[in-house]
Amino acid sequence: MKTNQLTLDIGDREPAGLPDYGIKPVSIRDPLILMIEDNEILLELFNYKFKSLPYDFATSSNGWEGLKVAKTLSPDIILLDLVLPGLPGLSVLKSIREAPFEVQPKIIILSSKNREKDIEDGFELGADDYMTKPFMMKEVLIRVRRLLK
Amino acid sequence: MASQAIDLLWIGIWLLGCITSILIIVAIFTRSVKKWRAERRESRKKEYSTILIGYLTGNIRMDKIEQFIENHPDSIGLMFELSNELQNNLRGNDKQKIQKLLSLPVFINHYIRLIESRSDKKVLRGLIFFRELEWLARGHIQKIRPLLNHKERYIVHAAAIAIMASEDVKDRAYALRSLCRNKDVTRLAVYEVLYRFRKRDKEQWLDEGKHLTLLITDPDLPISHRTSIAIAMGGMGYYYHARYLLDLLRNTPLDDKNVPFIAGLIESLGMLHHPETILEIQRLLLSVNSVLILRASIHALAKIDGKEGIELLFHFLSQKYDLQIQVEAAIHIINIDILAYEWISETFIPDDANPEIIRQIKAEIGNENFLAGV
Amino acid sequence: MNAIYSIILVDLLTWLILGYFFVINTVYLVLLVVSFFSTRKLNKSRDAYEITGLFDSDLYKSVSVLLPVYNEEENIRSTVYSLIQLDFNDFEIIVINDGSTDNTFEILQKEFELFPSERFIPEIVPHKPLKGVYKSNLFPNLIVLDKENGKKADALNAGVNASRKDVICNVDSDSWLEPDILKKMLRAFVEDETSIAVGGIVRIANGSVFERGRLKQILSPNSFLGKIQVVEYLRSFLFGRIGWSSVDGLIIISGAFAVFDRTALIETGGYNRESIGEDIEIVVNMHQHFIEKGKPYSMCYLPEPVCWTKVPESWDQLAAQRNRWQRGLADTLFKHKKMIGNPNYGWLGMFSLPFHLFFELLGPILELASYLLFFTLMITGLLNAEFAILFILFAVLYGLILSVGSILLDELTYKPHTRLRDVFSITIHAVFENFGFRQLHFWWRLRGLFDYLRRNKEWNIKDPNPTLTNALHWGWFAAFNLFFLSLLYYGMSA
Repeated sequence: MKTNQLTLDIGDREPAGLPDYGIKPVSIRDPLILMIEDNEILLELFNYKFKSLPYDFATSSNGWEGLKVAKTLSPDIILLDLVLPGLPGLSVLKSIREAPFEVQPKIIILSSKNREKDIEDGFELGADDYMTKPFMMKEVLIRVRRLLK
Repeated sequence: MASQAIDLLWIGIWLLGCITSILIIVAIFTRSVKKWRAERRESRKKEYSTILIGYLTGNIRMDKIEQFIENHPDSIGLMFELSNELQNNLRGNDKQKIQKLLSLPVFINHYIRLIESRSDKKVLRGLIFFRELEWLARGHIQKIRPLLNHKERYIVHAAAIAIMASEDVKDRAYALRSLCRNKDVTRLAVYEVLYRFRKRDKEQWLDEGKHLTLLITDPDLPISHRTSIAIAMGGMGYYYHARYLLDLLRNTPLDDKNVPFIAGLIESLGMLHHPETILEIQRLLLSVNSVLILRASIHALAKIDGKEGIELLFHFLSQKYDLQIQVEAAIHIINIDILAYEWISETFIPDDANPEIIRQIKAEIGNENFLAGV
Repeated sequence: MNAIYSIILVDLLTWLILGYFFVINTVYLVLLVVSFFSTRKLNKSRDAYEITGLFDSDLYKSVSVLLPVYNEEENIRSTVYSLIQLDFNDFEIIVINDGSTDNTFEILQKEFELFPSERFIPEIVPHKPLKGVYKSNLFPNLIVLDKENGKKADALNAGVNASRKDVICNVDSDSWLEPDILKKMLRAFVEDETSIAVGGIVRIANGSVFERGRLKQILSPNSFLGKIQVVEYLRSFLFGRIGWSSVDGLIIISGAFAVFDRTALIETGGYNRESIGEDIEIVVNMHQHFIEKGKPYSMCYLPEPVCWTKVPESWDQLAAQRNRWQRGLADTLFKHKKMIGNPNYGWLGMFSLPFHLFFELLGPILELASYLLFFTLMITGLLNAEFAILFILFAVLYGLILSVGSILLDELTYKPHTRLRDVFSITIHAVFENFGFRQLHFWWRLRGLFDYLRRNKEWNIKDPNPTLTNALHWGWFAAFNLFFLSLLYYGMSA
């Protein structure tokens, strides 16, 4: 009798089946922004906004996947939600900060968590900026631009 | 005889066979319908998101969307859901734009029709619309109020929440009272409404507090809901009325059915940091052995956080209390942290305290690193 | 004279067996109908809640998820990761390493960067001594207890002591939880404040595809035994337990996934370390305690929250499992024998426990009697072949209605399975389980009962050669089917 083994791979392997984001090589591409967020319509909104500007934009709606994508694409900026399926946002942040990037990405937390403690934790773990929801689209763009300078 | 039994069996077999086939067909049918619905919803979600984003970025005019909704009346629910999600996440101009869209008569008329309909499900959907969009509910309180007498408690709940948008304290107090009169309404529902009861406008606070104190003492309401209101008063910080709650605590007779109520009052006063509560707790400790009251006292003392409070909190480490109570007290002492650390070596520790617990408290204070308590 | 007696005896037995068949199936049918209605009612309330978005509020109770592990170096990482992914406001995960002899603890330590913590762990319920307490550097809500080996109940007790939350949720190490399971389970606690125990649906994970601790695709198991167990579990959870819980007669909450109020759990003395099946024992114990103290309480089973668990797919493992279940049931019923038939314990004592005693526990004996009778009648030539075959057909169809009914309930409550053909294949297996599997199952249960009576508490009788047992079981299975087919042929030609 063959016993079915449940296989749960938890993300150590090289991402094999990642979607093709059509991202150009680092040397010639526009600044790449990765948004890790589980709200679909927000993702679409940002996708539209950033694609109309001289930026490249990639998305992920799951903490694990987002972490993997970040490691493969090494984006310039990560917009990170804290409440995520897969892996909590703070753990994604921590893992990115501990990972060997050539240039550490700038990370902006964009979350509905707005307690003092959340913001403190976010910065302590190495976020470059913290924005709370609800937010202004324009403000996000301005902050992204400032961090890219 | 035998042939009769066999005939009966045949009939039974046929019958069972038919039932089984019907069940299978129904199962497959529900399955396909569910799947079809889910798929349709997904594809529409994509389509409508694009429309809304187009509107936000100025590529699609509002009247175009209005027209679209008029031509596709079944799109309205999903449209509302998506726009609501956007308006909850956005601020400033973008938010105003979405709110303007949601204020279109297409939306309002549709949802008013829903709350006036006879189907419970539709009424609920209509109420959700007004619950989410406070500024719209404000104008239609009159239409919502009759639903407070609905037989379905979920609808009463949703209606009460929608009415919390009203600027008039009396409206809100009335809705809260209607909700609380229903014994079947859960405590969670009452809290949910209570959290929306308070307005930003400080001038209303006195009035609001007065209405709440009236509800606390209203004999028509079940005591569990009165307890919830008492606790919520502490949680929402009606400091002006702390005095009143304290008097209530003094004057409520200590019998079995009042125990949760008294515990609630203590919790509430703890959240209001009223120092006289410590005296009251001291008085109660002489006569009370209810776990509920003891726990509430521990919570309150930890919150009040004065020297006398902490001293009394250490008193709960005494082994004359249940182990659970001792542990509860220990955990709260640990959470007070630095303050307790200075005091712990002093005379607060009762002589008959459990030495193991004391050792652990000492070890744990200041020992939690990395985001302790997240 | 003798002949007359024996005819009377045979008649009596026949009626007894027919009566047994009738009662057990009618009760099941009633349970199915009851659970259908209670599921509908729950669905309605769920609709209301989901739209009103109550779940975003902070009023939820907090949860400690307890995961006892013993020699689980293969699964441990993925199981813990699947727990970390739970979608809930305030929860902690307490992994209890129950004196594993393999690398379980080392793997935990490396993967989650454990460091020793002086967490305050009072001795509230008894358990074997702890060797150490650790917290994770990566996940602030992950706690690992390292203790000396005891039983599962012992490990769970350690977890109960270490917990600082309102609600305890215990999980098996080969189970995977759906991310929103806690939110849904906790709804039962906020809706009814007297809730002390809540169970959820357990489904079979074998065959389905998981990725990073998340369910990717629902498929049915490949093996025959796996598929049969899918129907079994659907029946046992969707109408068995939900039905029993709606008539207040719930006695089992699956050990793979259960949620208890911590205070109530401590009040009843924690998990019983002496019992064989701690999952039955704890529930019956809670019933007894709360009824005797006269406190209001409620237990319920929700038709929705889902835990995926791995079930044995080889005959000998399955036999061992069923044997243990039977001994657990026997043990608990024996420990609480004064509740059985006692009107002080209400519906539970008057109906649910006696039913479990006579039909679930002693059922195998009657089944044995019926097979013996069948063969005697056949050998003596008294058997009316046509009647016998029609009766068997009738019984199979009756059982099939229960299976199909629970498949329907499943379609109503859960998101659609990915493949229609799985539904068909499961239905077909629901027919086939009657021939061969059912008889084997009854044999395992019978053996469990006898093992218990011989006070054979530990299941150490490891078969020296599992391949041989498996071959024997398969042989039995084939022989039974051959026999049945020939009977069918004989009956049709008669």
